[in-house]
Amino acid sequence: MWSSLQIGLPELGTSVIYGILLCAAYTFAVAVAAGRSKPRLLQAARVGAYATSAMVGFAVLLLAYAFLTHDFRIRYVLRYSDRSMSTPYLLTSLWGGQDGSLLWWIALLSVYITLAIRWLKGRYRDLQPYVIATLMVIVAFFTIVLIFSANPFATTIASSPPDGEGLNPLLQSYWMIIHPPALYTGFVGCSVPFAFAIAALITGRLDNEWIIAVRKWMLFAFLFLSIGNWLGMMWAYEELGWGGYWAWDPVENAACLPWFTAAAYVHSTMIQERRSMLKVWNLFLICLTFFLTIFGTFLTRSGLITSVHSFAQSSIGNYFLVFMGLIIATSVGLIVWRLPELRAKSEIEAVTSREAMFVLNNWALLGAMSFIAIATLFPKISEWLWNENATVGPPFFNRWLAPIGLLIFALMGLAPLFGWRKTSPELLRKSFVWPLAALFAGAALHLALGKALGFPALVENDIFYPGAVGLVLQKIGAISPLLTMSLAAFNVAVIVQEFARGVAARQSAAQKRGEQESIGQALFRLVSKNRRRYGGYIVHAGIVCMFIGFAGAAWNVDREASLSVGETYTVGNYTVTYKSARMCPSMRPDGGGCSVEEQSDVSKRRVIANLELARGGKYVGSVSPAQFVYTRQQQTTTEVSILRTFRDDFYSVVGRVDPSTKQATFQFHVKPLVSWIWLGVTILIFGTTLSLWPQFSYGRVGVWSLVRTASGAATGIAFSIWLAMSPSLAHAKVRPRAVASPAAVQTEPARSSQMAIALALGAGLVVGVGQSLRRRRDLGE
Amino acid sequence: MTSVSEPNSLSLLALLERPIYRRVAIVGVVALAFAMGTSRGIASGFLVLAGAFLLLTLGLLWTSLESLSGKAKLSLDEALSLARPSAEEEQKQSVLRALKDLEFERSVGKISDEDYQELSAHYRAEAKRLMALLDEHHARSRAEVEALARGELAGAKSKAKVEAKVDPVEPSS
Repeated sequence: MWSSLQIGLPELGTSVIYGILLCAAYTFAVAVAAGRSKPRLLQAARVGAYATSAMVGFAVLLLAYAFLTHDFRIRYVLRYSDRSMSTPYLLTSLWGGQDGSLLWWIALLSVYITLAIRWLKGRYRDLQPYVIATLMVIVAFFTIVLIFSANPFATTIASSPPDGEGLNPLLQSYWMIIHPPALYTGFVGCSVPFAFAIAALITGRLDNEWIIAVRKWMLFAFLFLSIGNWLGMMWAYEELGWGGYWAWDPVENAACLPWFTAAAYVHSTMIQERRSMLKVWNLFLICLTFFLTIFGTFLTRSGLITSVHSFAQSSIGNYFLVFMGLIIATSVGLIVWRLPELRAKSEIEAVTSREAMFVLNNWALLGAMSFIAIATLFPKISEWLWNENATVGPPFFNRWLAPIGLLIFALMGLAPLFGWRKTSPELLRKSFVWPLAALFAGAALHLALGKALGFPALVENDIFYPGAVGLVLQKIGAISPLLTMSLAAFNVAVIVQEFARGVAARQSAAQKRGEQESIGQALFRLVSKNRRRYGGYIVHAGIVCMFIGFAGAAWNVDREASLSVGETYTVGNYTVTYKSARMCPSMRPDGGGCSVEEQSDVSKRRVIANLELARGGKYVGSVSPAQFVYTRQQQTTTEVSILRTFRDDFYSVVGRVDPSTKQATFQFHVKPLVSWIWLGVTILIFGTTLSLWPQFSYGRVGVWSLVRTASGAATGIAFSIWLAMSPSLAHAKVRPRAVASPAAVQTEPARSSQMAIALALGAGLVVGVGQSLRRRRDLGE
Repeated sequence: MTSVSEPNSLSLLALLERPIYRRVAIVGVVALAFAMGTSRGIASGFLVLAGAFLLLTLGLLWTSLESLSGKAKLSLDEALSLARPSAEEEQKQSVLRALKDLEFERSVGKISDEDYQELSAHYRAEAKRLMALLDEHHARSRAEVEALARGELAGAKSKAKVEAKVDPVEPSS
């Protein structure tokens, strides 16, 4: 049976792709008919959408099967895998290339469709048919691209070769396993709010309540856009070896564009909820966010802009252009058609109001997005309009985005200080006292102590442009560390004040009822009963940490050196000693210091340098940068090694190593405060998850559901920690004793990850049991 | 008219909507895939999963086509999900949420008393309007249902009388 399936696998896969298109077209037609008040057809459309999703699942599993059985008749399998690859990387290849990643896109969309339709049961009856129809159009579009331009089941012209070409070594990293799916989950998630917007515009159901419900879907997409971009930054930082986390590469830029508009929407929807304003703006933001996800995909895949991330050039750009045109025409056409019904019922009454701050914040976010989009496309625009080659590099983005970013950062702190409609002078004074005190105290402390601590408040900056604009940008760049740290203090004070006010209000209300609430109890109940609001403040706290991390770039130290074994070198406040180098697999009988894993892995040759680091004459750790030469692909990758602290990262890269003298060239970067970025994103993820967390009704939710939820959360946390702590040769090792043998080095992270998993599972269990007991108490059992 | 069946409908969807069947199906497929994966290689496990998805696709398509042609009966749960909630109910929920939020804003001193009174009055008036609309709608629906029920009862009575005349030995229940 298996062999007969093998014979027809490419043909079966192609037929399934055609089947998906047919199924989506059928569901679309039934859904549109159901929109004309035929409830039975709506049921048929819902089941049709489930069937479409199941068929996509079938296609993905078939392709996975082809990878696992090394079916090299299939061109995609041939190009992105080989027989030496392990099972996880074989499955990673599903989204490692153009054709498979488009199928993966549809697969994620199918998961969203299934969840959305399940969620819609018993909700928004009028919108359902058109939501389904819109989602089916998106499925149909991607399926058409697969059929006519990027069929992952297409066969090779020649006969099946004995082995494949293998996945790009740069992609053989655990970041590759999680980064693209996370980013795609964010991108694809924007389809659901878009489908709602189109359905609302078609049906004329333009009230506030659906747009508020859709906020959760957008928040979910925002969460995964954040995770995806964060993982991308980590990947770039740890794998690409150029010493940074964001290079303003066109594809990186395209990935962050929808993040800005999603963030804007999450805020502006609150104005619609409270004041029935900005209906057009919110619809525009939803449509724009979805458009930007397609635009980003177009940039990555069309070959329009040169990027390190680009897939192979193909004709799919034309399909995307047509689809983008369709999105613009449909969105703009429908919004204009419904314009009279979308008029605001009120207007902004005072500048000192929260809605005014939110509008400013929206404009700043949209401004940042537009700036990045135009600057990214500028080389192409210049070529089209003036026939001139222009390059827009990282310095341009960094200089211009510093003031825009600081404006957004300031507005983030300001908005919560204002009330809706207008804020009385008394309330303003009360709200601003502590945050302003923190702002000035932060500035004073930074000016006084910054230089002594190695973080001077003012930095020297080259002039970027001649003239006044260049001078202004230079001055802003010079004071941006001071501004960032002061605004960080301001924002932290605002967040603390908001929590303190909430806790005080709870305690006072409890006192009026004759009860007592401790600060801890009040804080816990405050957050658990107002997750959306306080989750949002936690997100703000995460962004504060990220800004502190971004500011660290002002104090970067970058050096290059050629060292012999035993030689020392000073970089910033670190003293580096080049201790030894080893090449693995080694021909020496004693293994040349290589571990069992290094000796047995014949797919690559490794050159590993061992360096010891000291600060102020005191040993602080060691790093082992390496170079891997992949024998099959004849490709060399740099494996960076980083010593991380909250103060700074010591980032090392080894270049050429002389095999006889072991003299080596190195790149060293001291990167202050980078860990704050990762900490900030983790806090942001926690805050967003808290905002999204559903309110439990203990009477309706069973004990097992709570235990399952807690177990799921615990497993997720454990998996994340395990991934983050997985042994990786290129990671820094802090303890000197462990350096002697790489095999020994790997035992420590393994033990740590086991402990982390045990802790996370234990925490999950405690939460589950706690919730169960609480439910029993609430039910009076 | 849409016919409604008891939840014992045999359509795939109705079966899979019952948690016990759904769980049994999922656990069964995963167990089989795991068994095949461990005994004949991981690829076989994936093939089992692919087969399950194919069966699911065919079953769902069949159910959808039956629904389309009117052959499949709606389960009570499905029928109820198609009948509710109305736009007014959803708007009412939204207004009540806004009121709750407003109370919180007041408790933390984010809104002046004057604004609170005005906004609160506005939301309460909106909630009352929506509730009145819902009551009116419900009253209409209730009257329709009562008329239908009376008609059904009258029909059942006359049918019983006819059957009693035809077969006086075995009266119908």
